[in-house]
Amino acid sequence: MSEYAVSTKNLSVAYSDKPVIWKLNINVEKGSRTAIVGPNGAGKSTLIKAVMKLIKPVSGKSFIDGSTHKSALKQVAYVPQKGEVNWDFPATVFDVVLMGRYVHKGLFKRPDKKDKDIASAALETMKMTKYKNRQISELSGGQRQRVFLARAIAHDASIYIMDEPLQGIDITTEKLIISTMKKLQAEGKTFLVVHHNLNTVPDYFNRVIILNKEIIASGPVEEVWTKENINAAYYEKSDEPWTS
Amino acid sequence: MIEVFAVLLVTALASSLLGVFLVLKGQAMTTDAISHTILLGIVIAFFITNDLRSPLLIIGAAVIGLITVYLIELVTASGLMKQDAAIGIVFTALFAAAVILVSRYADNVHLDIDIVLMGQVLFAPLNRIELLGISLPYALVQLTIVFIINILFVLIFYKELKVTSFDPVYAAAAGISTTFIYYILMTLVSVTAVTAFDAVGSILVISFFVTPAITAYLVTKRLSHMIWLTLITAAFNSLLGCSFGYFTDISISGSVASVSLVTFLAVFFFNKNGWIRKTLKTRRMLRKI
Amino acid sequence: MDILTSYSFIIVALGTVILSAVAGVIGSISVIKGQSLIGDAIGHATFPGVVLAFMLFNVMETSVLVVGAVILGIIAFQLIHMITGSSKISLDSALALVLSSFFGLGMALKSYVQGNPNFSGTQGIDDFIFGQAAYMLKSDVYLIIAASAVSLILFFLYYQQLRIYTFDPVYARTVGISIKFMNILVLAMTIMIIAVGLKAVGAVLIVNILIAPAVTGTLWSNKFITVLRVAAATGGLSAFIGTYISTTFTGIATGPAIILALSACVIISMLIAPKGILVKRQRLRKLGEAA
Repeated sequence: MSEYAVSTKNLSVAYSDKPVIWKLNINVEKGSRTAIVGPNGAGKSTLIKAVMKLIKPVSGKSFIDGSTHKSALKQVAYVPQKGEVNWDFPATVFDVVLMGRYVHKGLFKRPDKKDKDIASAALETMKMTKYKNRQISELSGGQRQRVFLARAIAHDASIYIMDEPLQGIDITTEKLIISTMKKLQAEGKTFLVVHHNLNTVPDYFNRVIILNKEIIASGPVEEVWTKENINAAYYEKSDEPWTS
Repeated sequence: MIEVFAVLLVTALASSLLGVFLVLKGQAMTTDAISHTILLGIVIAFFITNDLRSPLLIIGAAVIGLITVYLIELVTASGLMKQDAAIGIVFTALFAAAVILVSRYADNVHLDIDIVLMGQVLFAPLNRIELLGISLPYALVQLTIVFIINILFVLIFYKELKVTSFDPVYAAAAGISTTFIYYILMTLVSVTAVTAFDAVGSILVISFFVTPAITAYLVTKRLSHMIWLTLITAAFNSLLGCSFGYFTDISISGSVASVSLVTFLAVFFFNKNGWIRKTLKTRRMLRKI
Repeated sequence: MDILTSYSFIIVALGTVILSAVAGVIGSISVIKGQSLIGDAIGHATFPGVVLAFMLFNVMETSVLVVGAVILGIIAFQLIHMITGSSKISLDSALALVLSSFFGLGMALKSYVQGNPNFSGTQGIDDFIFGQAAYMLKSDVYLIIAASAVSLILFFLYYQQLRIYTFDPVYARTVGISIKFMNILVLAMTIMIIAVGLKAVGAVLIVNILIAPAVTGTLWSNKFITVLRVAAATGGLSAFIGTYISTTFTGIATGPAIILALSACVIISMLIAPKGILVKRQRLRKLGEAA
């Protein structure tokens, strides 16, 4: 047990030979709603993928609840960007949400009645019960995001890692996602969210990591969410330490 | 005739079942690569055993199939070229090596080029085996075993296949090894392709893998429905193609592949969200404007 | 050294070298755009065209059969385009569909022709599956030269447009380049090269000479013109080596020999080229040490 849900130590990732994130040290407090913000190409998604052990860093380590082991990832519900999956896949809304239970099922075991109840409850939380049997290709952007979040809820993890969950969705869905997030946080869950809308950061999150290849600032929103820090990330060209 | 059809039918069912997941994973062209390169495995195993019926041929083919997949992954992961270029280069290189080996060292054996490409299902019943006192075509027995293995694979790994095909990133994060499932799938694809080799050859087996699955994909909304419809389409294509080929005295596997295209196009044009409805709708809309 | 001056070697080498060099140039566009395997589907799909042309005219004249190949190649491409454009079927599934079923159609037609006494001299059809460069005639080489010349002229006539279209289709549209016309142009050049190359390399393996030289080119440079130069040189050189080997040793077909030579070029480039593994690893190590 660690005091941090997610942390990294000197984490650097490079695609081919170009560094994308550089010597990152982050600590995500348990029970927080932490946003990761930064301009395009700042390495936000890369950071998340490295934490999820989907890509290999050139150096450094990442920890889930103090552990570097892959099995620690079972505590994490990952919500990928909407564009990363094939929405024409022959599956219904309920099928996808039920996938959230697969993590708890070993080989040979099919989801049972209890799993189906949990999935139904998750659908209800995201107000998607009505669309239960709809094919996923027939959903709007917002509905797709709700399905993803319902799957994460069905997963019943302690940490939620989400990559731009509010991108391209309607305002009702956005409000629903944020209220659900706050409700789950009250139950002790941790959220680490890549976020793109700077205006809503103080309303939606209590901690923030401002990133542009390196950490520009990180901490409670009221302390680090300042004009200087945002300008430093978005408008000043960061000098590249790896060329020196 | 019945035995010829039976061989063809089991081939179609065994390969199209795996084809569902190949199509959903976007790996249809990897099948193209495997179905070509297994020839190299067959040739090498043949040099060792000198027996075209040796089980070593299947092992050789499966190993080469896996090497093909691994090489493609390796080259793609190196970031030096895109996956489709990697497929195109790896399979042509291995296939070219096989062709040279056959023509230089195995000219006297019966590894006929026509049979390599389209098999000879008509000869399948000639090669027989005694089983529980009944004489059956060897190919039929072999393919039935492969079909059963494929069914077991899909049953056992159903949820893993589903989640890794739909959302590999989520699956990996949830601790379900996409790579593991993928390599088992590709091993079975290689084994199925090599057992189907005698009957339908290396290029037409691609049609058996892919065509019924994409036909079903056009009109189904659930994975289980897609699997059933794929198997039904595969059986239908085999029956129609087999009869047509038999009565017009042309290559039966060629005939099945051609019929499969026609079935696909019929569904593509005429299903309720098909090309014709869509095109008419667009026209009507344009006229309104 | 007798081989190098023998008449048949010169004919075959001239044909394959020109073919592979030009294929390298034309293939670069598809490779950079990530559509390498379209050439594979078209290559296979030309085969029934060859058989149909033979059935209609009952002559084994390459110039006649090539017309059939071109027509079926166009139909195959249009079909792929239509299927991927108006359904949820992905490009690779559509390619596998067209490739296997068109080739199956070719095989069905071939078996019909070869079992029919009305057609004579049907053996030559097989040459188009795996290629039979050794049987290439002077007229076949003229055909290759003509198609290559037309393709190259078109290529350099539209060089600037093609360059922009290849690297940035969105920008290409904004500066008024017709994407539709560019697609047709690339398709026309590709099909021409495939059709005249069938007899030398064969329908099954022809895609390699469109991909391998181009991939080699992209490993050596990011500059389009340099990529093209390297691709043309690699194609030409490998074709020469392959043809030489196949003429020297018995039982080695020319097409596969060229492809193995090309594969060697790709492997060597993957290792030592400026964008290759060794250089990259070196840089990554430095990066890791700095971190």
